[in-house]
Amino acid sequence: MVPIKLNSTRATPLLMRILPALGIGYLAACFAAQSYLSAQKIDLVEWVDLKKAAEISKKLDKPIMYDFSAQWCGPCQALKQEVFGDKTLAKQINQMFVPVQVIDRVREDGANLLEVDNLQKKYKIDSFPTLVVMKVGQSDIRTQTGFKDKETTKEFIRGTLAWSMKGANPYDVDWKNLDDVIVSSHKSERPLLILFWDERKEYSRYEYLANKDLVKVIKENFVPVEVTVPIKANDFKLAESKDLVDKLAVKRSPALVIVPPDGGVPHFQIGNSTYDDNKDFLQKYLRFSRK
Amino acid sequence: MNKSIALMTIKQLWNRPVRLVLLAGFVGFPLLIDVMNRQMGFKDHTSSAMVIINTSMFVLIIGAGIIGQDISDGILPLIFSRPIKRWQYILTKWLAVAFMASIVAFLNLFIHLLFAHGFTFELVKGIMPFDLAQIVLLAMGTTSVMLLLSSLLPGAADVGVILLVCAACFVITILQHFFHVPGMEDTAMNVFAILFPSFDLGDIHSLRQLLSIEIGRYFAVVLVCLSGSVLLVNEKEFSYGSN
Repeated sequence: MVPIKLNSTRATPLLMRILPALGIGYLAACFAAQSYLSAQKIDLVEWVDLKKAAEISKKLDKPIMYDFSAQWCGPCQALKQEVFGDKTLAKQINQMFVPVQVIDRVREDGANLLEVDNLQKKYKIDSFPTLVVMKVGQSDIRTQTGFKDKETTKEFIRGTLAWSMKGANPYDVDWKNLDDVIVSSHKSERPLLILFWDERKEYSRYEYLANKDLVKVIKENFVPVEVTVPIKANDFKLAESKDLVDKLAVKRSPALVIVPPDGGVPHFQIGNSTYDDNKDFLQKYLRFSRK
Repeated sequence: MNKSIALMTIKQLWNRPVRLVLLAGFVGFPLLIDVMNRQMGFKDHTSSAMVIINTSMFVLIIGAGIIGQDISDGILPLIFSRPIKRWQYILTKWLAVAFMASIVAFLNLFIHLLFAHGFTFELVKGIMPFDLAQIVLLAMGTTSVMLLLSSLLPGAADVGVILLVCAACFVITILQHFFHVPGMEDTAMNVFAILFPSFDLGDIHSLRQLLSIEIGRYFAVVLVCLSGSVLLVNEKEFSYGSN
């Protein structure tokens, strides 16, 4: 091979030769960081600055979740690893709350910042960790003191979401069993709305369904049915239920399927759509079916 | 950046009416859907995200045969008879096509928002700086992939290959729906992410998120494509004697 001279039109700057290697190295670093983060389960919650929290809460219409903790506190570290390091829970917290960490520095610095002290007094914090969920302008709050285990905290978060969202709680919808609905199908002229849901996936039901209008549309216009994925887990007793699910042949979850009452063509919304997309999907179906 | 090559690339677009017609079609189609929605009494508009995704189509139209066409038309031996470095030619082509595609995409977004909101404050609010940056990112990413393919293939075959891969991805998705193969769910998505590299700027809230796979993949694909196309063009013989 003939060496290329520097002034040749084929000469390539050194940077151009190095950059692709750097790009690949960066990608490798990203992969390594992702696997390290998921292995380490470090804090995945996107904490918001204490001073900006109220403003962001008002703007986004989300409740604030205060995590009162301290560096020296063992249970606080456990809460961080078990709950804030859990991808699903962290995502849920990031999406549904304005998360704020309030760290006590009395042992380290001898005193706390004024705003930290004020908050601790306001919510009467006497032990760590304490989770406080509040809505700006409302006196009602939800509190969890201490850290027992992940499941308890998960329940606390779920209950708090239900409390803070009121009409937008996806757990407000009474998702029925397909067998029960088919038995009583002659009583309803509403279309079936079948939710194919896989609890093992990291996708949150709040991302999928937590919208006031969506919950209202489902309650008022559809017969909501939940089918667990994998389908085998449902243990259908009626042949009609099995036939219907086989006919729909939904292979990916989450999925929403509208089955019209007159035996018309089913409508599908498959994949990780947002609650806004799902609302549009249902509303469009209703508009068309009325026409 | 070489000014003459940049100007030549821009002129090449205007000299091919088919490309202009296609561009007009891709700008006009979402608007047509919006008009139909309005006439049917729906208030829905094509979302800005959908309009931004169209940037890739603009790159495909404007950048079709970005290098291959120059080779097929015999322009490249003329260019390289002057003391222009090949990497300069490639980087200029890359920036010129990405720039043009971004401008068309900006205009498309503006027209779309104008149609949706009229001359109101909503129009100004709708133009998010993030969206504009997102357009540029997508345009630069897709153009780099086209450069690599175009340095390998003659004429506008680069677009053909991209469309073929897209069709294959579509078939894979359909097959996956019927014959579910575990672990293959995201194959099509990953191929698309390489063909049309981009990442969501809205997802970056902290320095830690700079180590996301999407960002790493974007820079790796763009840099490898640019460097790969320089390498491939350097290997080609363009002198008149070579024929």
